[in-house]
Amino acid sequence: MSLLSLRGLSTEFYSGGRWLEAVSDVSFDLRPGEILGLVGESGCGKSTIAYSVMQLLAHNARISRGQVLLGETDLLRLEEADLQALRGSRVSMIFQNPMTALDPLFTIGHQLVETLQAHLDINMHEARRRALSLLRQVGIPAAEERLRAYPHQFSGGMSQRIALAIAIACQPQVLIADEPTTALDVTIQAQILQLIRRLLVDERGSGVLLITHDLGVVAQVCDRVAVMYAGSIVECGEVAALFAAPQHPYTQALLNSLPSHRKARGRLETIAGRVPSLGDRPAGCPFAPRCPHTKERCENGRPPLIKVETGQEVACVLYD
Amino acid sequence: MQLARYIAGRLLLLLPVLFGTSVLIFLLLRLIPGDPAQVILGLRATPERLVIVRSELGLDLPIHQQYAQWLGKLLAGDLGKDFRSNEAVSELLRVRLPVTIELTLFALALAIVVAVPLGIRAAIRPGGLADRAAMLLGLLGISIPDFWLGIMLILLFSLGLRMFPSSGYVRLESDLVGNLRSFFLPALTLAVGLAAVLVRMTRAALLEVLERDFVKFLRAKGLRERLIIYQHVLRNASIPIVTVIGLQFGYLLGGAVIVEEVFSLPGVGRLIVSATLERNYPVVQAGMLVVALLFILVNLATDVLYGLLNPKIRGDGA
Amino acid sequence: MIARLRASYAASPSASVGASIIIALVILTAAAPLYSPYKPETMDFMAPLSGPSRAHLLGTDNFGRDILTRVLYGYQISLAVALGSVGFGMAAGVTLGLLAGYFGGALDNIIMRPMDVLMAFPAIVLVVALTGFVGREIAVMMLAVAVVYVPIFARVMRGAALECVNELYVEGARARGASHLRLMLRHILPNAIPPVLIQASILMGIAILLESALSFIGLGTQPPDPSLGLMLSEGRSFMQQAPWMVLVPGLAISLAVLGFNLLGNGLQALLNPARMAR
Repeated sequence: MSLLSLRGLSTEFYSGGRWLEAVSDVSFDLRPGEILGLVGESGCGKSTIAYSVMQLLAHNARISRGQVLLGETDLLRLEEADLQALRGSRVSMIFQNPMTALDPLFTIGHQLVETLQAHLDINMHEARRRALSLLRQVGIPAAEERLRAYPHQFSGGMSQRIALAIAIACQPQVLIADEPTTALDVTIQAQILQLIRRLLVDERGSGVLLITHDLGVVAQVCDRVAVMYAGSIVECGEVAALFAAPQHPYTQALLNSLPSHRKARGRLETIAGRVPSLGDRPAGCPFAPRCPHTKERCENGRPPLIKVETGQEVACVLYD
Repeated sequence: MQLARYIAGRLLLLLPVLFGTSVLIFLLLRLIPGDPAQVILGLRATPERLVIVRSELGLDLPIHQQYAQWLGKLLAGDLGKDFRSNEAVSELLRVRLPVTIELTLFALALAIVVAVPLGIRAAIRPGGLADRAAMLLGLLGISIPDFWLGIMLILLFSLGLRMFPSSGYVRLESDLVGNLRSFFLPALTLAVGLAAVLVRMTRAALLEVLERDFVKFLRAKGLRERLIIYQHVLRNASIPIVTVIGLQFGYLLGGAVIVEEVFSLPGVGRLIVSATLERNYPVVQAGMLVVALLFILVNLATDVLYGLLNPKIRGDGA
Repeated sequence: MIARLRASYAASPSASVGASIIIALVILTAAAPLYSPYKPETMDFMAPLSGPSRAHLLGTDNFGRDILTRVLYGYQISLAVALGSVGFGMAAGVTLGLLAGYFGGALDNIIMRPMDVLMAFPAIVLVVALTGFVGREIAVMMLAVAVVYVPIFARVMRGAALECVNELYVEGARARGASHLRLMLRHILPNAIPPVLIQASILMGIAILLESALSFIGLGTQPPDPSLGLMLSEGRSFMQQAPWMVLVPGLAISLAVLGFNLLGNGLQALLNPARMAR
């Protein structure tokens, strides 16, 4: 039983007079007590997936096909009012830049309390008590005084802790973290990632969808990982297995470009060519134009994900 | 503490502007071609009278002494005398100023009541009905001359429908309803131009705030859209909106000059115009000084309000 | 030709409509003596206060003067004051703003503090006082409005100069030994052209408003010259018998100002596409 399931999700953007597919036929499951990494270069559609799940897409974007199941509920069939009730309570999200994620004109106490009161039938006194306890849980020192502080009085790392406190205020089953540590110093990064694991996975048994471009972050905290390229998932599996034996040519190339990766023999490799832009993605395998193993069959539609011997699923004709 | 320092800084910045303003108003009298005393008294002036007026104006002294003398009197509250009636100018202003202030505040209130809600609706649904109405108001409001609008309103509501008086002024103390009725059309006339600017600024400020990251986070928290707009977005947008209102107050004071003329309201603006027409220079100087002072004070108030709205400047919190 | 016009219309309908209004007004006004059967001061004593007719398309005033003709000649004064004041104001303001923004420091203060003082007066008050003290001629009106415009142009220019004075290409030109004058004229001034043009278009409209307001209260154009503001003020006494006497000049002023505002808005959309996105 998974907490969050995507079934064949496709999302399009309206641009230059036509609809362009940014996310194509994406499926995955997020299970209780795991951190699933969604990794890929910028523009591959990973953030679009986050906004599709939250149903917070921009005005020029729409979901064209698929299902987003939160438990048994198909989010795409809900009215806006029901979605509002789910956001922040059953599924929460935190963002890349913590310094701009909080309203600068309200105290953080207010921003915690309003979240609690939006979803729970509790009085002001109880809400303040819980807000205080949440601040302590995310490790804000002198929490009682800090409730009355404004966002500009906190550092980036502290702000992300506060955003996390707000996100977990109503015990969500799913947290979507969109590049939560990209804007932070490396030492702070590790603290935030550990905090996410401890608070959500270890203590609450929730699931976390961690969106990142950083394979180091994936190796650090994720249980499973899905690798995205040009709107599609090309490989998906346990982190240890996938890092040990990447199967898809794109995953292999990506890992070979990592300085710390064991397989880097002497010199770093780069991937030839460029990521195709939204307007001219190829009809077949999106990686085909840059792939060293390209065959004729690669042009015949996007290959489906297939389970291979090493345990992960791969979308590549090499494994038919 | 931080706020006090901020306000002190603003006040300090005002000093050069105040000094410059006084110099400019003082120098205006030197712009008159020929002998100001002669111009003021006309061609039939007796030589004795000319000497008296010259020394009253301080024209027989070197220019820096003239300024010092003028400024000294000014600071003592002596704004000079009306050349026609020999009344103290300060007394004239005391009677006229409340009319102008009531007119501008009434207009300000009308403009805010119409423009801010319309601007909000326009920003929530770009391209919608409210947005089109806002666009139309924003364009026509700054294109139609206020004195013409005033005449048209008189033609329609006073002479045609007989709903409001076409001119004249009822004192606030004697009859509140009559007072408001006598002020409604002038205030409406004055409000249209400001509403035009305000509706555009409100819309633009809201659109800018709606793009910010924290709005995404508020939505992801599951807050109701109404709460997000009317509490968070509006509070953030109010900072630029308040600034614009402050800056536009000068526009209201300028508009009052014309609108008071159209509706025969005995305010400072009409005083300046009639005094200019009869070359009653001390009255013009004093009127300009008052208008400039009001403008500067409103801008100071705007700065203070800006500081109060912004926790970074207000400097409270833990 | 037509294709290019259509393309520019698509890019900014507002600018195109505004420009069309202005061009049409300028041509109609400039050519008025060629086609108008009347002169602005011709009085028809047989038909005072007559409504619109075939002889007088927009009616006549209390002296039997043709209102359409007077409007067309009135535009000449409006446009002359607008062009003159924006011209003088722009020349002085841009120069001062360029110097203040480029050199900064003490010079910036020496130039900009007096500008703050001028900005402390509502435009109409300053213009009323200047024309009242100096004289009621068209040239004085132009200069008085120009005085109001100098600080506005100076601020716009200074802002634009500050934005690019530290840009790489300016630094590069400086490193290659370009003179101050060359840097200001070749590298900084061109950057300020879009905001200055937008401002100029809007201020043209405001100048028309100011001229008519001044004439309306008796401090601008003097009778019997045909100024739109003056026509309005004369028409007030007759507005119940002859409403066209106030309707026509008011609409005429609004149309011209609307033209310049549309042009200004359109230019803003064309020249600042990022700010107008959405």
